[in-house]
Amino acid sequence: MASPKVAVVGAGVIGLSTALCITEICPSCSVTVLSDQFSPNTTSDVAAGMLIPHTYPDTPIHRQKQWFKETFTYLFAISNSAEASEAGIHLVSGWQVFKSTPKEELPFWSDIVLGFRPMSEAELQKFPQHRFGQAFTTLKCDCPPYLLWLEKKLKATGTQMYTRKVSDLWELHSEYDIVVNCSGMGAHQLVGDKQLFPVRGQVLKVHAPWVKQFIRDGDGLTYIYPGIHRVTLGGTRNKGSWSLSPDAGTTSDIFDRCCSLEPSLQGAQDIEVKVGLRPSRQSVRVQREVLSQGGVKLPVVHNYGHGAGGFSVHRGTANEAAHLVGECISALQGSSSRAKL
Amino acid sequence: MRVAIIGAGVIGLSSALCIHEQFHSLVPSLELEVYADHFTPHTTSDGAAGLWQPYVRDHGKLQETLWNKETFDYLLGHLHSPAAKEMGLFLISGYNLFTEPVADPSWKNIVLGFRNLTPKELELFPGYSYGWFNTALMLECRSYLPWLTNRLTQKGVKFFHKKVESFQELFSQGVDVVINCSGMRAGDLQPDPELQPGRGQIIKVLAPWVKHFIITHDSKSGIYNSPYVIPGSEFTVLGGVYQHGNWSEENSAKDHKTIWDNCCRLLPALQKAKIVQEWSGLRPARPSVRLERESIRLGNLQAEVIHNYGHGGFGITIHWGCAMAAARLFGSILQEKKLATSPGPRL
Repeated sequence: MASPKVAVVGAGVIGLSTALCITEICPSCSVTVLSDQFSPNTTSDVAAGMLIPHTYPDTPIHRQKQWFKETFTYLFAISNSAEASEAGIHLVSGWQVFKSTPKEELPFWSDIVLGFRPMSEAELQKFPQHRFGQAFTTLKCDCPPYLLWLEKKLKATGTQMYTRKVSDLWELHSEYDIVVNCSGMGAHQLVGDKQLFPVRGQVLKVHAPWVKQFIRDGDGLTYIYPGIHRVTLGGTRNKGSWSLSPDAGTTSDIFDRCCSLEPSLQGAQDIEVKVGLRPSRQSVRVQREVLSQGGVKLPVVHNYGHGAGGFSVHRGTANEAAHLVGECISALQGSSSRAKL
Repeated sequence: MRVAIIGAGVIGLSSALCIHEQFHSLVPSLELEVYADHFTPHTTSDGAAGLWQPYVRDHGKLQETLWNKETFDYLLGHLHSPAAKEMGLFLISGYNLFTEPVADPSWKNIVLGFRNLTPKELELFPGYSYGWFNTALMLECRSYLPWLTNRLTQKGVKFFHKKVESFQELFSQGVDVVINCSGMRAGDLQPDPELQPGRGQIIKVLAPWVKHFIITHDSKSGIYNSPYVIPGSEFTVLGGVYQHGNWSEENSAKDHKTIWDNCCRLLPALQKAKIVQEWSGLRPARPSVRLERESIRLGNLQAEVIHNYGHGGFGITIHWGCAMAAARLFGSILQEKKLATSPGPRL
């Protein structure tokens, strides 16, 4: 197989980074990205893009840690280069505060982020309703810049990108040798994965350029994440809700909760409300599969179900998925040489 | 009781406010007047990035360390007030970088979360092997000075746009006490060979992805003669020039190149930043801050001057502690003149 044709379905952070990893691992591959949405209209564009991992109950911790570490290392290098501003990657420091001391005081990722330590008494005075906190420095991927930068890098490798809604992976079998499924929430329909469910998030993107630090409540519901031009205020975790419409009551509630953590946000301007559906799952599905229909086989690599943690582990899962694509290619080459005998 | 404040930078305006707050109810006849030839945005204070951070060595000047602490605590107390945004006040974290281990600074317990840098953090800064991380405050004068001016105006303080040529000039007009906050030009009012310019030059850029201050230190070149990057609410200030004895307020192309090259080497992400403005100013440097009373005999009158100048590159950092000290000196003048209606203010 001279030049395997790989289709990547999905153009959010997972689809684009997976496509990029495939071009890096398999330069002879011809990669095409197909998606019904591109930036700025993907789920990734709504996210703040903070590198603070979500814990997946059914994925072994060492695997999650490896994904996070690879992602952090990759982005750390970009943040310290001349490409940082174009890629939208920057360091940000801040605090995670808890109303009651968490049972796990040291999260699995505490040695990957920078300078992780408990907050001092003096720092906690800023949060009278919270009794415990952690201070650290991490990375943020601003979208759209990060997705646009990934698209630019892909185009430079000759990767084609098309707006196209794929309703069934079999649609692709005649044009492509391998299909990579990075369809996020779309996998619910596309591959009928009933273990995948939406966790609706509403956020406000505001102009408050004096906010230089992130603040996150350990419950994951209230957070303030300063980006390049806007600060993301959140949020909600409406499990099972498919609604992409902003809710006005929720907007006020988010604003109030964030102002109680950071009173200066009262002066925030240009409030924009966005909604995204986190494609949630008990474990991220990074897996090879061979679909079979009427004697025809279609190798598929899945990379979806990152829920609230997409940015945190994107590069690690993209690398793993790209290696699985490599395995598919070897398998195809093996079977094609067997076919020649 | 007419009190004239000379100077409308951060020192002059804050001294005026502090004196007014403490004494206007005790001295019904109190009239405050601010005299300056430059007002915001044309004062030395306006050129400063606004980061609260004293020098790394205090050389035993404990009084100044205390004034720095008083200023930090005062500002921290205002952080959650509705006025914070208008004051240009916000929290910011960042890095101090060194080429060798150094002793902790006098202000390590004043700022929040002070700690040493980890090896991984130091990877970000090749050439630097040691450093600190802490959370401090920014107080941007382009907001703070107008805020102070508004507060003073509301309280009936009068402003006069003029260059005062001598203390006499004011006393002969009937001023009772002069607060001398004339900064770099204090020598024009009364010779002071200890007051020398510490010339600085800065480049203001648009780099909103920079969220931390980064201050490098080179013991051989001296304070602020090593690159620094300080992100503000709109612009990021790049600097690293401190030229003792240089009175030039013209931007130097050579200094521009030094600052730009050094800062881009320090933070490669700055290479894409857009340059918006260049500025030079003179830090009013002195071996120690001059904060003291002076009684001047003018004929058969005893005129009182309170000096409050010579804050070098740490004026914003120390301003409120000095304003309160100046107010205490004013209180003792009132005591002597038996003008205060109660035994002095509780500070």
